Amino acid sequence: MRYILAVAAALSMTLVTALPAHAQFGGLERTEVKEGYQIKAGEANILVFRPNVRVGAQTTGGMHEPNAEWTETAKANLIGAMQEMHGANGIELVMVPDQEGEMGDVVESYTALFGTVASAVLTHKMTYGNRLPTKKDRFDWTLGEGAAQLKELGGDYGLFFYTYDSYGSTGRKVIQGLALVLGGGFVPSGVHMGYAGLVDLNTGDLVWLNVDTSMGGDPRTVEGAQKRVAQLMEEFPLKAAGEPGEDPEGVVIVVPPATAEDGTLRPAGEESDLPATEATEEEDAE
Amino acid sequence: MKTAKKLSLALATAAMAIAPAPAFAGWKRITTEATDVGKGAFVVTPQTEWSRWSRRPAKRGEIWTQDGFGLNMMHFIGQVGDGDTLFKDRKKKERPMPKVRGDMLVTDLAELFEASFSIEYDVTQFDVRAMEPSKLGGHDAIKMTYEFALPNDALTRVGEARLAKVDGQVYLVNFIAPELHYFDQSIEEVHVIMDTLQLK
Amino acid sequence: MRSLLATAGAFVALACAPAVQAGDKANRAEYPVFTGAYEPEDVDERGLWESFDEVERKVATSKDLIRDEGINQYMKDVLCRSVGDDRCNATRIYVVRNNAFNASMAPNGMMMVNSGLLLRMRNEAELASVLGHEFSHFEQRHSLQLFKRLRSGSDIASIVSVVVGVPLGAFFLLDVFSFNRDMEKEADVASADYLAASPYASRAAADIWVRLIDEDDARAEERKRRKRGRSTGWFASHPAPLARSEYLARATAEHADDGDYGFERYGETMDPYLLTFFEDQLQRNDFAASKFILDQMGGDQWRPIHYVMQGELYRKRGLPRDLVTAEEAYRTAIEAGSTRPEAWRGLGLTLMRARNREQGAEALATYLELAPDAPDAPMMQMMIKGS
Repeated sequence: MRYILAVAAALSMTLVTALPAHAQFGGLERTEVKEGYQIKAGEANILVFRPNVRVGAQTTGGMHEPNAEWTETAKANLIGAMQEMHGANGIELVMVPDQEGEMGDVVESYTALFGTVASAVLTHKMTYGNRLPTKKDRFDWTLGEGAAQLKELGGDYGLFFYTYDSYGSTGRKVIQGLALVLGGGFVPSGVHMGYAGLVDLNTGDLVWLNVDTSMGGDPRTVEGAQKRVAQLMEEFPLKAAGEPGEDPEGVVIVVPPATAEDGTLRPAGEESDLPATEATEEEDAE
Repeated sequence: MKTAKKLSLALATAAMAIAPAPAFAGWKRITTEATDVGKGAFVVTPQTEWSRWSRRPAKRGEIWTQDGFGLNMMHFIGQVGDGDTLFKDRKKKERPMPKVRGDMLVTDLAELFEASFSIEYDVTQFDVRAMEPSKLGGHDAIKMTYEFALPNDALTRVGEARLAKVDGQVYLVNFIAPELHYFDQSIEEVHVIMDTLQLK
Repeated sequence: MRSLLATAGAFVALACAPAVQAGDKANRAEYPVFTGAYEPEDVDERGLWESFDEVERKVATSKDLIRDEGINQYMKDVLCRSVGDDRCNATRIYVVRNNAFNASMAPNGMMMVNSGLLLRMRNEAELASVLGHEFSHFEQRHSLQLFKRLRSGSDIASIVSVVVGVPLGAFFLLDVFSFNRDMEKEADVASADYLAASPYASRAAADIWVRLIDEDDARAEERKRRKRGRSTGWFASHPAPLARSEYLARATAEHADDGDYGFERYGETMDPYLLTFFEDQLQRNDFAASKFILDQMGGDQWRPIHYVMQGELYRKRGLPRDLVTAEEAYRTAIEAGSTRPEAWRGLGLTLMRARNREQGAEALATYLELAPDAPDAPMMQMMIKGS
């Protein structure tokens, strides 16, 4: 039991590394969003705190070989894809450079607290067998109001993310095949995990956390990174419509219920292939 | 010399796969009603809801949390007699726990707690911030506030423990949390709990 | 009571004194040729460096580090004097507050040294030899070699894991960077060469390792467990301490120099920290080993601080006969001129526990006079009143 605290600390760096066990049994994919939460309307800057991106190869034995070039390329690709994706929604990502002095301590402390909080969510909310009774029906973790200090860095939100990729080697794939033939144990080839979390710096609340232990997309390529980012940002809070403090105006798109060619309604969730019609002066509830 | 395991632990992707999942045990909701705690060692009436871990830290002990152990953790350990240890003495050969002795002064109890806590959680840095007379459930007690660090962790963690000896039995209530936000979030309620609980 | 912060101020004055360059010893050897600080070369090495750079960022923010500039500067000075200025600048040293005897060297030049190691060194030359040893792991790229060797090694484990269905690969990672015996020996020899070229006495290196195993023997006896012996557990990855002392003695005999031990300098520098480091050790409920450490530290030159530590050692175990020993130790410390408030605190609490309340209260009152702002002052006032 002595390791509980130590583990909590270790997690702040390697949150998702906690999960290879799950990864081997089909993967864990969980998202928590604060109910009804939206990014404020208008201009929104999100501070991105030193992303932790690790890329390497997996040897036949399952050992991870870090690869500096892959890591560097992946980091650049991921950040680029993220900026593109959020930029399309009118959100600017601000990369927080290394801070000195007092602000350096503040950033370090909140980064560590985020890690501890995220690991608590993972352990006590996302792991169903281990949910705390006090957390069963809510998602209300926070870094506290003091997190507002971070707004000085030029944003209202803080984004933390982590990805870890270990690519299976040929040797490992051979063994994997062998295991199947022999009916032996499961030898996972390659590990691809990630998590990302968003903090509202006005309240300090953790408003969104996404954890995935079997991610797709190869961040070493631009296209792969886009796919990865799309998965990493799954269920990312939407941006509220309109301008802050103003009545919304402009064109609002209303998508009519999907109908089949014979005019009957399609089941919900099925995509409509009809073009969206334009409407004006009406606010979409979304 | 051996390279610190800490290093490779930090690097290893396997750290957690090896440590058995820490808290895969049952949890029970503690409501705001008067609750028997530590197999009847205490009666506690919290102001908010807590979660109780099914694994006991001591024969007559319980651990509670609200947000997870890394964020807030409260120990209740009661009725520890002469020759017993505060926390269960699980690994006597590797890390034996110190024992309560009948002639201990109240300040010795604080030192006993410091050692027991450090051994239980592998804390290597523990500094007392203040030590003063206090009450635990109406009985004379020693109150110790302290800070501690965990290996390779950038958070300052703080704690408050109160210990009392009643009829030769030692009682402990302890609360720990990161200093950033979480300690202040709960400490008022923790004080009310420490003041109003009953020792049995 | 810990007083690391309180004493840190006092330390700065000492640390500012220029590092004493021991008068050059008579037959000082030359340092081995240094090829210059190197950059990582192949893909493996760059990967390792980059990973450890990331680890180091994390380590640097850790709250269990001792950040006091004085002690950090001192460590750097000793390393530089041990391996020479051109070598030492390739490394960064982090002092971790941890009672265990340990030091480590990462492939990117990050060195970590536990306070427990500082507690167990008897003089600066011993510290210099250990730092030199760690440094040579770095210079000889042992982590990288090991990494490459393990990579092929764990491939075998994977085949085993196919059968049992457990990925053993994970377990190997834990020990990836604990160096093996040959590497330890290589580092020992290299550090002997550094020491020979340094102002330090080469002989200092020889018996650190024997003391380490003696300490564990003492602990094993107290805990009634099997002694780890000379070939299992921790020691498995290291040359047997006896053999090690022998070859180190041989290596240093060749140099037969008359270098400096830096005994006093080490004592002066460490004095303000020793009590804190020793209390960290006492916290582990590890009486026999703690006593061994103290006896080794004091040797035949016990200073007042050592008696205070002895008092704490016995008071904290607290058996009836221990209280007698503790009282005597604190009194000896005070008579020998110790000005540490902890001596009176310990004496007072020992006397009170031994039911000599009146004298105990007097000693505590002196403690409060010496340390009116002590964090436990309110508690001690209550102890005095209640007596």
